[in-house]
Amino acid sequence: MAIRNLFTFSSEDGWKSYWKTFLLTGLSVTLLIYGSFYIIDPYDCYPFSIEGERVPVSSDARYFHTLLARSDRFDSAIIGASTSRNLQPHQLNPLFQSAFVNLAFNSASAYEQDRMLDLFIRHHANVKTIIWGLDMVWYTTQDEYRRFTRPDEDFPEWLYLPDADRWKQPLAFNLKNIEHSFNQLLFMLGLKQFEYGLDGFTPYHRRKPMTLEQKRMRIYGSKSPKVKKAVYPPTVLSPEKLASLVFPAEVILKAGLDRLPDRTEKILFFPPYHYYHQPAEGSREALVLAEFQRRVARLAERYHNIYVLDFMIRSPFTTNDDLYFDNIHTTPKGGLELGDQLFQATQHDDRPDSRVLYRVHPPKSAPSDHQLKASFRKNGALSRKSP
Amino acid sequence: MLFNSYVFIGLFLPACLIVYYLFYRKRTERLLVLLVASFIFYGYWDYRLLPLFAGSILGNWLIAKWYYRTAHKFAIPLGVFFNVLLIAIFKYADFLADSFAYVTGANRTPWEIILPLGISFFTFQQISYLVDLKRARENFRPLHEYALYVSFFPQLIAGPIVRCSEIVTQYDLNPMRSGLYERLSKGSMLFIIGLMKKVFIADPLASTVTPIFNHTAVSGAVSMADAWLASINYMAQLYFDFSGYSDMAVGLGLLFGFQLPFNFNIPYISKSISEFWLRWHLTLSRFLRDYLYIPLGGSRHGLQRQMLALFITMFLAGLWHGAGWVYAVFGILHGLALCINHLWRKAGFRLPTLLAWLTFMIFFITSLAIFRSANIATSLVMVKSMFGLDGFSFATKGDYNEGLLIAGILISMVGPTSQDVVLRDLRPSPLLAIAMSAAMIYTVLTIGNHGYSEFIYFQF
Repeated sequence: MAIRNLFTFSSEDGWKSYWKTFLLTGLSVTLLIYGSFYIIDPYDCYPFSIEGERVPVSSDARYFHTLLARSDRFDSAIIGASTSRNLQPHQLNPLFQSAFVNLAFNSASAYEQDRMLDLFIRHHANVKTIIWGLDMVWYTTQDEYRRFTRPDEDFPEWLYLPDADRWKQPLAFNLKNIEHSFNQLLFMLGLKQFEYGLDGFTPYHRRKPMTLEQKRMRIYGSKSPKVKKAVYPPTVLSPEKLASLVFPAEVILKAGLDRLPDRTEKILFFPPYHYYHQPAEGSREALVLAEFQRRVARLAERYHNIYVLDFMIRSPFTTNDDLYFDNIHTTPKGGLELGDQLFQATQHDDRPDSRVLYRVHPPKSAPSDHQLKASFRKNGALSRKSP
Repeated sequence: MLFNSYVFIGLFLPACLIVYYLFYRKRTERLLVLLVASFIFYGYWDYRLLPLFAGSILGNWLIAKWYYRTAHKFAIPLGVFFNVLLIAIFKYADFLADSFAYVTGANRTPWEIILPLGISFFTFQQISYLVDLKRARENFRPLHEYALYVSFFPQLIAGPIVRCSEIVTQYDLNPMRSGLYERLSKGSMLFIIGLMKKVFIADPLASTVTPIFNHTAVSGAVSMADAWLASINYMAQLYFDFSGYSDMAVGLGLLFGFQLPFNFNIPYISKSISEFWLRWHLTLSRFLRDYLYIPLGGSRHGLQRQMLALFITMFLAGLWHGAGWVYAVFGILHGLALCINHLWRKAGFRLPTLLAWLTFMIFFITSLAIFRSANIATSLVMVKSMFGLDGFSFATKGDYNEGLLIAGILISMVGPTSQDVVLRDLRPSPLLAIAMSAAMIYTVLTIGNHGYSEFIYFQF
């Protein structure tokens, strides 16, 4: 088989003109697209972009929550995945006397949550309160752990870099950025409004309210409730086996807490999955979760101003089908109830809806770090509760 | 480095082209530019593979030099043995040891030897060079020319498999010679068409194929409808993935002033298995014919010997695709089918065209179901379901894109091929240039959204 001759030589001038047009078009359109990115700056992260307010113009929180995380309108943040999305800043602000932004987003891996926290800390010297929801991505063990719950390319790492380092990773050349830039431009020109929450809270179900039957279909797979069965015979894991479990996210959690100042109020909570979908009594999953909770409570002993609260229990909340959108996500109404319960749990010991796994009372006033440390050395142990 | 990655399209390729054309007057220098670029391209994946790659090239060249100087009768057999040994260690050692352990019932921990990328391709090319040297069809080449023949990055990882003389004779041609703009234009068109085949057809089809085969491997069950649909989708995916890669390779060659052979010629229009292998992966078929089938006797030593030669050639061709029993079974099936097809024709039987095509398609899709399966057990589940041996279930779990599948199948069966579009149909015009530029940018933007994936043939 001989190689075919590809050439006609019939129109060298024609091909020369083609090649020049091809290159010129390609280069100019590429430059135009890149130029638009930097000038419109949909994520408000470049110094030479045009002046004007930017807002989230898409539900893609991995991109647009960075805009909120850099905003100086807030001093407190909610970090987590979709199970923390329904916590509502307008409710929490007066309770905690803080200005919250909800930075939780769907399918956020432990790594992504930590990146978001890191970005918020870098732009806020005095973080007042951090509420951090620890759902299933945190207590997965080594064999199931994934750095990203979505493909890597969906996480725009360059948006999370310090400003001085962002040039090292150029803005991604993709359709998503074009769409975001275009929509941001429409907003800046006053031609289009967007409904994404300016404090990070956007209900994920905007259609008409669901009926109880619809909710139960999502929770139980049937219109009527089902009884949750315990695993029998119960799984037994030896203390050695439990101690040998590796939770890759444990290191990430510690690194995140290490970055927070002592004075910051740190509220870690295990979100209230509907009881029907919590790890079943006697199951391996329940033992693994309990072991992770034990470790988090132990880790918390190193820090000041910290709470570890568990809502992943059978409670009036987690058995109230009406508060749920599906098996693990609450409705906005459930989010309000959770916000209230979170505040109550920081003020009291165990309540019907929550267990306090660990707590160090915050100081009444705002003393210096040195005073805080001395105070905790003296009193901290008195207010600790073991799981 | 993948052809469909940002770093290749946005940095490596433009930089290579600029530096290469800066040295257009100096033959040795411009060849060295390509050689260094090819080693960077290969080392970008895993620089630890570079010593093996360079060692393989140097070893073969030294053997060729030994033969050139002494004509020693053991030189070429030793060289071929050296290549086969290399591929046996890096590609087949674990497979052979696993098979042995399975037969003896022993437990073994895999060695997990890293498979050097493109080892099947660059080893084949080096064997062909040594054999052609002995047959006096090749001349002895200086080290840098030989190294560039083996490592030329457009065809290094997954072909087309070329003969040394096909490339080296083009080294003397000045890249700025007459026809420069036609080569650049057609090269870029082929590259863009190949990229679009990968991004807009092969990758979306893969997202429907992979879950079904993975689920079947885990659950041990698949419905009849899913077994057929996943296999047909895979047939289309394989064609667009590999022909897309080959188009890009040929296009890249043209950008540097080289002509590489085409690999496909509307393969799914074939009405028999023998016709298929004259339309599919043409450079592999040529290699198998010249360096396996004919040396094994070909058609010159009677029917029995010819059948044996066909069968062994296809069995080895199956194994060439991968170290696994599914590939061996694929090869055995194709070997048997070629033998039957040959006897059928020899006996003078003929099927009506449509029936012949349908018979071939059913055979080929079934063989692909085996080829794509994770292991023999999964392939058995697939084949049994396809032929109703596990019942007739028409329920589907797959998220199939029917429109894409039909369009893909039609293009792969009716054509036109990329080479026909670029060489025969397209004429230079400003509108075409703008359209091609826009297509390129849109494709790259889409890659930015979804990320890029490896080509199927990279694993072979």
